[in-house]
Amino acid sequence: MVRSGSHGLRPHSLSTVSTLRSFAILIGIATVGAALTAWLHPEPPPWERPVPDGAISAATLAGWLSADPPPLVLDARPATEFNAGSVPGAIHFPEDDYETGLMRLIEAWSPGRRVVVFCGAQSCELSRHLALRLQGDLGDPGIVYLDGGWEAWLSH
Amino acid sequence: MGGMAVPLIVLPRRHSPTGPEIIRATVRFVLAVVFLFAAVPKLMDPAGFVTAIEGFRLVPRSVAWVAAFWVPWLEIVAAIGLLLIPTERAARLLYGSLLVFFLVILASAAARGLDVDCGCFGAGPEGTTSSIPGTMLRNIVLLIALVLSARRPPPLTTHPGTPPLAAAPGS
Repeated sequence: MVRSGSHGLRPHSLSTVSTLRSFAILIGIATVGAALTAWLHPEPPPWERPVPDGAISAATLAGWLSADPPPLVLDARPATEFNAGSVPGAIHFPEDDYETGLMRLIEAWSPGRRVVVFCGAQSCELSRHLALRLQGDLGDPGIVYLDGGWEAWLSH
Repeated sequence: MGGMAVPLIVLPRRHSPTGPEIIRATVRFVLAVVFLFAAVPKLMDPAGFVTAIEGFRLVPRSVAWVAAFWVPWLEIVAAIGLLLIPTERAARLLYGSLLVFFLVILASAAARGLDVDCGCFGAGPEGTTSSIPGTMLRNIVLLIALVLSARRPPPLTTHPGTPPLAAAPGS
């Protein structure tokens, strides 16, 4: 390495510029890779994957709602979201007040009537936990949750 | 110039790898393997990773999909870049930025009392949750290892008897 000592950038500046340039190149490669992945592997949204045990799809729920009597639908999302819109006929089941939710359910429920619990999205574990707990408390193993939650209902 | 000795040639000191250098290289290799192991399951199952991202309740689904495609690739280029001399510094910057980003998201989830699957190594089985403090601790350990494993540039030496570069005329 030949250095005149009288011109050019200092080594520190050079190395910072070079690092930032390499950083931009790395980000660029990752972005191209991400675009390729998106193009080559168009994954179905999670709610289009097989419905897990103990859950029903939004399409199934829509079918059930036209039956007589319709299922009792429990909306376990926050009250503000429930008030903004929910599945027709749904009962609000407050996340942080199980007893109140249970009382509301028991007032409307009769043995043998279907119960479906849902919360915000596929990632929301609350509806699954709630369905399991209600199965135990009401002695009804048929209580299910909506796979994909409110987002799946909106998209079905 | 009046006979002043000007250092014209600066040579990297040739030396064999020392023990600490070998350890640092090994740590960098391990860090790269960790990120590759984290990236591949997410790359193979973007939908599962979207579900994990949504669990943090920070971004809408559309952003979660962009992140699900992008984050695994950022991890892959950071991992491979860490092993290559020309990109090592930039990859370290990217690797560290990702770790700090993950730490901030985990801290936000912890602050909001969320019980989520971090999705760090791909989506777990239905209902999986991660220990957020444990995951944060792992990221902090990785961050420390990243800082300590930085490749040290070989020191530049001048010919014996010449003044240091800073004293050269015009500099």
